[in-house]
Amino acid sequence: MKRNESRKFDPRSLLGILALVALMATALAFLVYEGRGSGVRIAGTAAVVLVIAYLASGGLGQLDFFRSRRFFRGSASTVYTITVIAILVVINALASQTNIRWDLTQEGMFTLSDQTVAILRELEEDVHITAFFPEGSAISEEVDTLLTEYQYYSPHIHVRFVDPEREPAVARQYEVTRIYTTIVESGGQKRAINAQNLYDLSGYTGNDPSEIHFRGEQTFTRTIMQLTQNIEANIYFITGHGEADLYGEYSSLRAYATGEGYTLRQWNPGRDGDIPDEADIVVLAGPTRDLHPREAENIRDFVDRGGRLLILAGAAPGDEGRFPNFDSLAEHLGVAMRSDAVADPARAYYMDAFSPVPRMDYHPVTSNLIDSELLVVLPLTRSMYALDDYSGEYEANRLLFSSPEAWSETNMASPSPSEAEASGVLPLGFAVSRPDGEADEEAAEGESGEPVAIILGSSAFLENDLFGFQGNSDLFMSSLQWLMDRPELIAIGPKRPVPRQVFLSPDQGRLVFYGGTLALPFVVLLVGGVVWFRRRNL
Amino acid sequence: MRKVWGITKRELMTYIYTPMAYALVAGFLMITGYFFSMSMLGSRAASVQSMLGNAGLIMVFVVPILTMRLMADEDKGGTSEILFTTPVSMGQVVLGKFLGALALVTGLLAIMLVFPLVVDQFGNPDWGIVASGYFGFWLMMTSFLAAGVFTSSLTDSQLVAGVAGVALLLLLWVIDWAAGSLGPPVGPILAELSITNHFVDFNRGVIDTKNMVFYLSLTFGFLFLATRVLESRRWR
Repeated sequence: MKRNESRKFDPRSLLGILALVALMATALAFLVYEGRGSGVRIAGTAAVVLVIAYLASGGLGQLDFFRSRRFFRGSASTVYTITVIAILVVINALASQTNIRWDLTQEGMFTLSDQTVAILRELEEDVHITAFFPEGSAISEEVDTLLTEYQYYSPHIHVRFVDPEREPAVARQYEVTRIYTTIVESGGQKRAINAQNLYDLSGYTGNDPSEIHFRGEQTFTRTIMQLTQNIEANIYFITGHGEADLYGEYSSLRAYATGEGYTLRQWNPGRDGDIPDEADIVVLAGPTRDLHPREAENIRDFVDRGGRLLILAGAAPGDEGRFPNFDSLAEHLGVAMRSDAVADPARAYYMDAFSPVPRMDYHPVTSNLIDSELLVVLPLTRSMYALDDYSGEYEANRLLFSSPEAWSETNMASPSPSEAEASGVLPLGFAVSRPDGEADEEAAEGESGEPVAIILGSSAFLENDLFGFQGNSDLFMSSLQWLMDRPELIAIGPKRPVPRQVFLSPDQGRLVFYGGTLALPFVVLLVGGVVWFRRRNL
Repeated sequence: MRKVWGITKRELMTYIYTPMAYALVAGFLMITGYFFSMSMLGSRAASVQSMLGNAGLIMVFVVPILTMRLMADEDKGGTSEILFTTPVSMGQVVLGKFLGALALVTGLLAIMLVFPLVVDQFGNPDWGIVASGYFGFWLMMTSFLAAGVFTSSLTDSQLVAGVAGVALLLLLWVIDWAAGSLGPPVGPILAELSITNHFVDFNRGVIDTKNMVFYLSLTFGFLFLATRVLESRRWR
């Protein structure tokens, strides 16, 4: 009779079930809406009301089970279990914060350089790194692996990977238009790093992908350092005279140099006034009209005050006397520009005589290119020479020069050497420095005093279609680095893993396949058979 | 400890004298060997990283078959009453059985060392990565076995224990797939629970104490749960 009574339907049970359902709905709504929204509030309120109603109705009291010995032992066991699991969670959380890592790879592929570790350990402000990479891409894995190491050394490094195809709104928010872009933010500043900033292609011949080396550590460390230590590297590109446009033919250069930590701006002296003091380097890239005398004087003063200048001249055949102010600026530095286009059929890019592939003198600007056997192509380049009767304070050292078969062409419509035109080995670039007390010692090592200017005959070699050619971008970047003369812009070499390949003849390949797939299991089965047979006959 | 060792020895001998263990090991080695040779012939890479990754997934199915009888068999064979009344604690029983299975899997791993030795014959593997990968694989297997012991303790049916084991390990294997879509706070938690995420570092040559603690915690946690389940039978 009592059993039958206990099986009777009790409305309070329904109340209890509803309370339980409401609690579960609240938890689900919390997870789905991440703790926000009216769904969470409604479900939560309903759950609280139902639980209170259930308890008030004496719901718990009706269940004998809750008063049983089993219930108390079960409760104790549950509490014990939950406590142990909680302790394990805490141990894992602590282990995440205080972990130690050992890199067992022979080349130390996952070991950061001492410079990077020192910078990360000294970080005091948060650095947010947002990488816009398609999920599962190879570059994504490499960057993820690297930044995991960064996070190991500093709690201030925050990394987020965003697949721009799956989260286009986030990409728009960061103004990211190219995939494989990484945005590094700190202290209200941000920099964009592109994929080309993450790889060293200098040894790549176009055939073997193993010749491409990941240099993400160099790029990320330098960017973090520049953002957190406020190291400025401001490059001002002069405009207003038909120069190359950073948002047009120089857009690849802009993206690359920005990713390397430089801040590039365009500056029209006629509109924007004199060059500001914050400028570190001023670039004159292929002016097709002459500078105003005051502009030339302003640049000259800037250089004399310790500013740095990069002149990318561009061919000017037959323009003798059209650029007096521009020419006087170069002459102030001890270099005279010829109004020509250099033809060098003996060392030409794809047999275009007006695209010379110059030879290089050993200098800090060119040393990496020479060591790496990288070529530079200088289309439409002007020749120049060091002034013999120069009495200024600077010293010009030749950087690039043509082959002995070259000549200075003043009429590109009918290219042929003439007696009136200079010929033979023609200088195509100079590095200008200010000799000082230490100059003599440094000169012996290829150094030459305090950097002042670099004058190159071509501006077209940095345009988008040629920027990636072998050593073109390297010549530009090493020019900037030499001009900046900033030791804090560290250079961390890319990791160069030893190629690990197996070399198998067809017979050996078959041996590996059949041996690995059949022989090993066969031996195991044989042993099993013997054991089973012996056991059966015991 | 002697009691634990006695149980361990008994379990290991049971495996050694059971044809099914040989069949299972042979089947595992055949599939792993296939993946190994395909990876080696296809990529020409002198490494066993790909093979270890695939072997982990195969073990998701192999380990529950190895462990499904550990506890469930005691019920079925009617020996559980004897076991529960002997002066051996539940913890010792669970640990002994777990170590018996671990000894078998460690032996299996020793046989798998043939693969890097083959690579060494034809190329130059990075032995640091090999050592780290095998160590990580062994740690991952300890957590697999503990999970198998736990599911075996839940039921007296070997089949149910095996299926539950596969389901549990498979869930832990793929649990982070949803991490990216769900976002914080659930996503990072799922990623942390992923049994594969913690193996990645090992398999590329990095030993991280965080990953070691994860596998050891999982192992201890499952063995503890198995002990609690078995002990609850005394008062249920």
